[in-house]
Amino acid sequence: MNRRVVWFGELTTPARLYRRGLWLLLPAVVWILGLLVIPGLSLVALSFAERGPYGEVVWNFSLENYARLLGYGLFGWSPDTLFILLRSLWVAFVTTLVCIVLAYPLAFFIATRPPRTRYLWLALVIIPFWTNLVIRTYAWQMLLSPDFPLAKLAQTLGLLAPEAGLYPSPLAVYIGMITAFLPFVVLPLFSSLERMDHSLVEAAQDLYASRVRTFFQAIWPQTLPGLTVGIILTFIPAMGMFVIPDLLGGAKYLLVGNLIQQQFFASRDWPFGAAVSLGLMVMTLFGLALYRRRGKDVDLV
Amino acid sequence: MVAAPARVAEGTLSLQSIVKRFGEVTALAGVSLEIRTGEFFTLLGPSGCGKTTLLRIIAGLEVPSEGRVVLLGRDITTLPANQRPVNTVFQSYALFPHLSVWENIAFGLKSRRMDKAEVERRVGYGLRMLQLEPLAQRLPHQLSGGQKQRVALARALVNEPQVLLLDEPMSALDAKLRAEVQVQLRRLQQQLGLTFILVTHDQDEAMAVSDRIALMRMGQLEQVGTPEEVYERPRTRYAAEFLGAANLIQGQRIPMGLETALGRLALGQTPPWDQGYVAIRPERVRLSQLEPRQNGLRVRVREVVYRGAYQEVWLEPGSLRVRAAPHPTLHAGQELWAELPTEALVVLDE
Repeated sequence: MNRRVVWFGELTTPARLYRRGLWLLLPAVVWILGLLVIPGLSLVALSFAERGPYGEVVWNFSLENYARLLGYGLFGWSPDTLFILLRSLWVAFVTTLVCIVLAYPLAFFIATRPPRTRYLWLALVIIPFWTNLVIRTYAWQMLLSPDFPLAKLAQTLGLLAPEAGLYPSPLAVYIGMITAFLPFVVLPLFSSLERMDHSLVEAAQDLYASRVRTFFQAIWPQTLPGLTVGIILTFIPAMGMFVIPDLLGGAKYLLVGNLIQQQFFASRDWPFGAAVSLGLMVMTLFGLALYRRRGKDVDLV
Repeated sequence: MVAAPARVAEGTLSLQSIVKRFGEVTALAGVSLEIRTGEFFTLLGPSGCGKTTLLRIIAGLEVPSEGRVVLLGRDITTLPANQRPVNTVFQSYALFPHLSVWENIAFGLKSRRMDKAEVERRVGYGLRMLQLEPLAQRLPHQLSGGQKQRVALARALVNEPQVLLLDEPMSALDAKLRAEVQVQLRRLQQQLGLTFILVTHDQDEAMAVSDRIALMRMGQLEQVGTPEEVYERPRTRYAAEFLGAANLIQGQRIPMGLETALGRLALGQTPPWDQGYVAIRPERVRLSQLEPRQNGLRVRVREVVYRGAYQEVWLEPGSLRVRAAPHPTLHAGQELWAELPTEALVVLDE
């Protein structure tokens, strides 16, 4: 092993390079092991344990938590848990979809401003991040409360009972989620649109394409990278979100995030909480895999 | 610059006093042109002269600030690009990266909802015409520059446009391929009998392919004519120097000729000015040991540059540039006679 090599101008041996490589790898390995692999495996182990009478974890192997996840409880089968999971999936899906639909015109608008004002508009999109999500959600509580103009308007239009507020309600959850995640779609979409090759748009127009065809053939494919990032950044956290449904949805509009949080805090049922968490993870990964597969052979004609 | 557009019966495209301003900048300052059916017309000029803007106005990608665009008797000045019977080969080719060669060529036909059999027929024809059949299923990133250029050409041609616009289509090709493509392009245009409008800054390319050339300068037409006309009879110093090399000689008008720093020159025509320039192409200057009968200048060879097919000779006084057949005895310091034949001396307007 005394062979000498020149590595970026340094005279050294392969063995030394190898040892140095291991040292450089160490932080990443510690990080992944400590923060991902070990907690993940603990969660898996925990999900097969049992809850003791006082909320402690009893290490008896059991499939009961998964049975409960599928709805088999003390009083026979009930779809409640499954329903919460499906509802979370639906809410995340709708949130992502609405965010995309809203983000396109917005990102377009910003990307077509002259450079001097462009970053001003971008700043306006980013400014909400300066406030904590919880505080923003409380702000929505206020804005949607019975005495504020939005609810008053809905009352006058007869959409809402007199004296009622717009929250707690599913609508309030959607509003909270969409406003929270919109920037996560707008920003990557903007960066795609800003770098877009405009000559393709002109080529489509030159080749008799309508506006719709121009969009789907010349613009949409070029924004797919940004759109993918936006979808992932929105869909995954939206699946697990619990602050917004908790504060805006009321007790009747539980999402899986709230369910998990309840298990770890109020119910003190960590094993079941772990099982629900893993259920969420499986569903998210499944959704992403589906998206990846469909994304690969997207046919845009 | 150019007289009011003459009425040309067979005119396909008529540009009438086109002005285009971008904010403070005037890209086109009143351009009028008549382009004939089946003509290979070239807009030639340095970058920033407005030639690409003019092409984009014809394509419908820009709307002129003033003036009209008339295609086959129909005013299309404000007609959107996707409704014009005009197609473009873009400088960057602008092929759709997610579509195969076949799909790219079919794009315009599908936009117009042509029936499937007709699309198949025309794409097949386009593929054959440009020898792209083996590449039909490839994606643009799997093609070479020359292949991309042919796809872009096929994609435009299958639509059977009234006018085909080419925006510097050869600027991304290497010199050897470019020369080949020029010949192919010219042949294709002759075969199809289509009207081609080419934008280029390359004067050799313009001369090789065009029926007529419009030389542009700062948003205006400098001179319009066949390659021979523009080369042999440049009207301005700019035209003389942009197309090929030219010796410019300043002088004062005298009866029957010109008084210059080099001596008296007889001219074939009377200049319209008192003081101005005449031009002569380097290959038109004759060198000899004997004094010529007319317009002979006693000169000394300053430098000889061997160029293979010819020799470039720089003469003193006057820094005259001569292109001559290689001659073994020609050497620097030699004294001889240079003849500037009257028929080769072009009187410039300015």
